[in-house]
Amino acid sequence: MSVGLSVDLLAQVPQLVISGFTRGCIYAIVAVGFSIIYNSTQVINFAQGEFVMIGAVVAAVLLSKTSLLVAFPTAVAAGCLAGAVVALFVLLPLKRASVVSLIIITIGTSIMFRGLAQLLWGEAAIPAPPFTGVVVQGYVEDREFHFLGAYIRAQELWVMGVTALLVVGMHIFFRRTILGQAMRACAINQLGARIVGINVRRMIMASFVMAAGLGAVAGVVVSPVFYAKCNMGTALGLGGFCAAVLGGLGNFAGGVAAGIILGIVESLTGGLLWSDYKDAVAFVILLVILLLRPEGVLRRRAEA
Amino acid sequence: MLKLQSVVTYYGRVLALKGVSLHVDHGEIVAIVGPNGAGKTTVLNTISGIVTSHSGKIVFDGVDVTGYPTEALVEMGLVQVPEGRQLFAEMTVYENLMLGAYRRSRAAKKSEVAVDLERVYSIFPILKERKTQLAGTLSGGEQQMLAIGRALMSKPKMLLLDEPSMGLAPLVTKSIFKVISDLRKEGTTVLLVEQNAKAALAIAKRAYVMETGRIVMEGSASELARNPEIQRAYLGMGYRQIMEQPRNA
Ligand SMILES: Nc1ncnc2c1ncn2[C@@H]1O[C@H](COP(=O)(O)OP(=O)(O)O)[C@@H](O)[C@H]1O
Ligand SMILES: [Mg+2]
Repeated sequence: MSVGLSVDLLAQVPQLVISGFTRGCIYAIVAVGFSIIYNSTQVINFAQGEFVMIGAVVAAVLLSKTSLLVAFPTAVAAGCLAGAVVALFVLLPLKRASVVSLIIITIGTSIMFRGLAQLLWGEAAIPAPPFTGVVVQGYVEDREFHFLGAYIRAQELWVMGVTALLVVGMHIFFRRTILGQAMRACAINQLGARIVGINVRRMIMASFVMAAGLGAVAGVVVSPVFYAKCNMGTALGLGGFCAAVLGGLGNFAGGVAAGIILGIVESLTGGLLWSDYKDAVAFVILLVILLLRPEGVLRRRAEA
Repeated sequence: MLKLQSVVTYYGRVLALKGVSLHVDHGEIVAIVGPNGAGKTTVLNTISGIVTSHSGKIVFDGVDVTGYPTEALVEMGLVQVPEGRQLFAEMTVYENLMLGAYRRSRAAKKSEVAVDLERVYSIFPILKERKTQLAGTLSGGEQQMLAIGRALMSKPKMLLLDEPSMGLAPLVTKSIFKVISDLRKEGTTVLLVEQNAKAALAIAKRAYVMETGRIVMEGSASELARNPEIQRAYLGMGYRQIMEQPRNA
């Protein structure tokens, strides 16, 4: 009897890995957002998860009225706008404040965004149709593919594909374009950056807008998978933060790998062990890292 | 080319420049010498907009540039090579040089920037050899060359050099100073801040002596080099001691 049960459980592993991978992609994007802002300001922006929420909620609301071609860019623009608001009205005017107080301010900002979303769109989860699918009785049904003993939804492939595109795009942006190089320069030596004529304030703005835009893209692609909800940003932000720290703050590749691993570990923990403690996984990992290796786990290897 | 009129600068409540007036003509090397803490770096930082002046006037190339942001001045051709070099240590030599051309990266043609890169490599061949190396791994002399090279990538009309000899062996200092006087011959105007007064006065045409936030003496470099007071304070002690001179000199 008990043997039968565990075989049953093991059969779920591929399915759990796939759904964990999908969630891990969102953590990965959020982790990259944390690193972009950390690199240009040394600030850990705890509003990062809310950018995902804004993208998801705006997209879900619009998708019930218009097409994806309108909803996607509008939702991303809303996210970018939120990022610009944080930079322009919160961080830049307070540039004399210590990094710790700035971080606390970003926590306040995140609560503000959540409250605002709740006010505008309510507390209920907003369903969003998948990007691609077949229309059944006026309702878009997602396609499913069979893959290594599990089902994978087309929307999950969208999440993974978009994540891969964003990560590669960010890498090219920071290594190959002069604007990306200038943003890196601000992080490495701010005085040096000013000396060569880089407008450091503008670069900080750009880093917030980019991190927020990335988060919003993640929110849009994931809204058909998770449902969009005004409080969804908290857990995604925490997972993304955990991934960013695990991968070494400021290290994109490390954060992406850690995000995907975290998503899978969470999903396996929830599915195989204790479903009630799934959300505690990120906390526990975070505590262990901060106790043992405050500089991050994947950092050394990634830089070598 | 550059003119400062009674420039006053504060750090918070601390008065760092107590009314500095000086001028640099086109094609000149002008030196500012003086002890540590005199305010030499503050003069350069005020000129390039890194710190803002409280009062006074700064004119560059016939334009009143008082209060201009650094990027606007870089675009006008006024570029600083800062104290401590301020390189991008975790970026390659090549990336550092390309960031020197940042203000031109949109307007200028790629081919123009490539020509300037070759020029920098011909002035400092070692940078070409090390172009894929991280800036932080270079020797002190190479880092100074990179800092000058990065500034040259913005096609400056005028360079503000802050202690280029700092921490360098005499022979390396000599080769850097040779490059500075060559640059002048090619038409670049130079304002050179140095604690190594001997080396500075040797290549400068005129010089200012600064102490505690004001200019206390000025004249032609050869005149100042012969002045007994200057000789006692800055030149008499020999090269190495000048480098380590305490601030109450
Ligand atoms: N960022 C700063 N904040 C406060 N005081 C400063 C700052 N930079 C320099 N000072 C002070 O201003 C004075 C002039 O410094 P500086 O211009 O660096 O002198 P120098 O370059 O001649 O050694 C010194 O007394 C120094 O302590
Ligand atoms: Mg100085």
